Amino acid sequence: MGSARLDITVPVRGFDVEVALGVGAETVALVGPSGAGKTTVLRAVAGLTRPSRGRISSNGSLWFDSRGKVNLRPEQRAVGYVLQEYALFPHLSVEKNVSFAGGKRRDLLERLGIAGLAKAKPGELSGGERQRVALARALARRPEVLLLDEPMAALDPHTRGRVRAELRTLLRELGLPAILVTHDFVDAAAVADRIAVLVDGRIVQTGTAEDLIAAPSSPFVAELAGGNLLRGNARVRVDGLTEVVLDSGLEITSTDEASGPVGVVVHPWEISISRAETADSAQNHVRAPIESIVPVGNRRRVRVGPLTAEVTAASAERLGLKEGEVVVAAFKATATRLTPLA
Amino acid sequence: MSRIAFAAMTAVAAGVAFAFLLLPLVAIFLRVPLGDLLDQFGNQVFRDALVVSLKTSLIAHVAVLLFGTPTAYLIARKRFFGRGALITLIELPLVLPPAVAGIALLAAFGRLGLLGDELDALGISIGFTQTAVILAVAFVESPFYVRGAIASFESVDPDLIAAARTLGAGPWRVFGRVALPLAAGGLGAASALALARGLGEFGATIIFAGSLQGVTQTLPLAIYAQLEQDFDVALAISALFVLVGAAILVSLKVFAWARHGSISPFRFAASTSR
Repeated sequence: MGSARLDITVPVRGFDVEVALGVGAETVALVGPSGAGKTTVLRAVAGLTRPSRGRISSNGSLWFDSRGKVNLRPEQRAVGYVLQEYALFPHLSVEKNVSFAGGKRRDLLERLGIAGLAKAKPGELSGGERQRVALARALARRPEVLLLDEPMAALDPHTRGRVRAELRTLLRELGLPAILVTHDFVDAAAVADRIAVLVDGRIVQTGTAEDLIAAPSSPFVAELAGGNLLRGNARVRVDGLTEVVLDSGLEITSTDEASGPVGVVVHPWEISISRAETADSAQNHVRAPIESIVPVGNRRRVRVGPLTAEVTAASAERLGLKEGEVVVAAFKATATRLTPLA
Repeated sequence: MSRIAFAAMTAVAAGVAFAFLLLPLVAIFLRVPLGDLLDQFGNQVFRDALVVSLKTSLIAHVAVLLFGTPTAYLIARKRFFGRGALITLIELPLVLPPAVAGIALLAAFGRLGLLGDELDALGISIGFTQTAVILAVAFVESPFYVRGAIASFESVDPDLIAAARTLGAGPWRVFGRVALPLAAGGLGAASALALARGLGEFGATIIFAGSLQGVTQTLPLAIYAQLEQDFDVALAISALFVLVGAAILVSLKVFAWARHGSISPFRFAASTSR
């Protein structure tokens, strides 16, 4: 069982990337907006960028230590690095790309299902095939740590789902510490065991996808994880509940305690839709026309005013929901999370 | 009306330009029948000049490749203080009159030059020898090669270099298996261009090496020497240059077209001051 630890500061243009992360035999996704420093972290682990401070170790052996003056060169670190857009050698065949790290690796070609492409050049491959070649090449290095930079970004939407599942299976089988960089929360949730959200060079929250969706520590995480995010001003009422006046003038009640500017987070599946305001237990009712109805599997994502609700296809059918119709979206105060805005 | 006038104007301008460029070249071949031209290649002056030219250009070119390639790789890969100044220095001979290059070489390596005493003490005399021709040719052609080579190495995706390093490749392997093969097309084009420039070297050579038949008289110098004595020899050598030059250009374009589907192999990238 391998493990990798890093605790580093890497100066980049305009700010410092400061990351402390322990990765066991698991896949940790670094998720965040572009420019947050995700790739910088991978490059530092690979030895391509030198941190100004800190240490990086793999299986207990030091790769970098600013105090001990240890700094292994990239070629001395056992990393398997799948670069963004794969960076396959265009002048070498698939076979030669994979054997670049040394030794013929027929087993890897077989394992990744690219044995039939051994003689092909990268330019002749599809996105999905290129990704598998890049993985095989990285694994041929016999890495202690696997680094994957946006491995799904270059794929078209309908191969993406299949590739996600394949990658997840492969990473599970390998049991290597792996750091996956992506800007797509869904990719991260599908492939990784844990997710670390990186914003402006800092990890703002770490947890499972479920953790992040259920308890986002910041409006950014909430938005990333796919909940509704509304902004407003909070004050605690005499009855102990918190009342939030949204920027739109709408009033929302929450059981969370907060005051001042807040982000209101409601998950789409916590919102129910009805034709008329009913005497239910929900504290919050938003009356607005339906802006859009988008099918997602057996569910429908219904946009009502500022909110996105998720209802089953059956319910949407039963209610005869149509775009443009005025409906009431209801959600309980207990399902309304408040996150203070800095 | 104005559209037609414009079209006519550009057509006339292009016609004049092409005629002006083509007429002298055609004249070389029209003035003397091809058979007589070929006979001139038996001439001793021509044979001596050919041997001197081939020998000196070849040695100079190999030296330029051997020293220029690592230099270009270093400049393309590293960012350091004074990089822009260094590139400008490399480019300087491009804009200098070759005669100035000749004077500069004399001032450095000539008997009365900067290193004259040191070279004298070692029993080495460079001025007006074949070594002088080689130095002059190398001095004048090297910026053509190094500039093109820098651009070629810069066009290699840094991610490919990074990938090679993470796959365990040390600097020699990165250079030999990734950078060099990927830059090869551009290096070849730069090399051919530099070779052509070296073969045509005149000004620096005549000043630094003189024009001694069989020793320092290269083909361009022979043209000049034969101008008064035997114009047909001068013509024959000139015709040879036109043919060799055309062959180099055509092969470069065909090569570039086969590789990239583009017709221009001359990629002098923005390598000036970054």
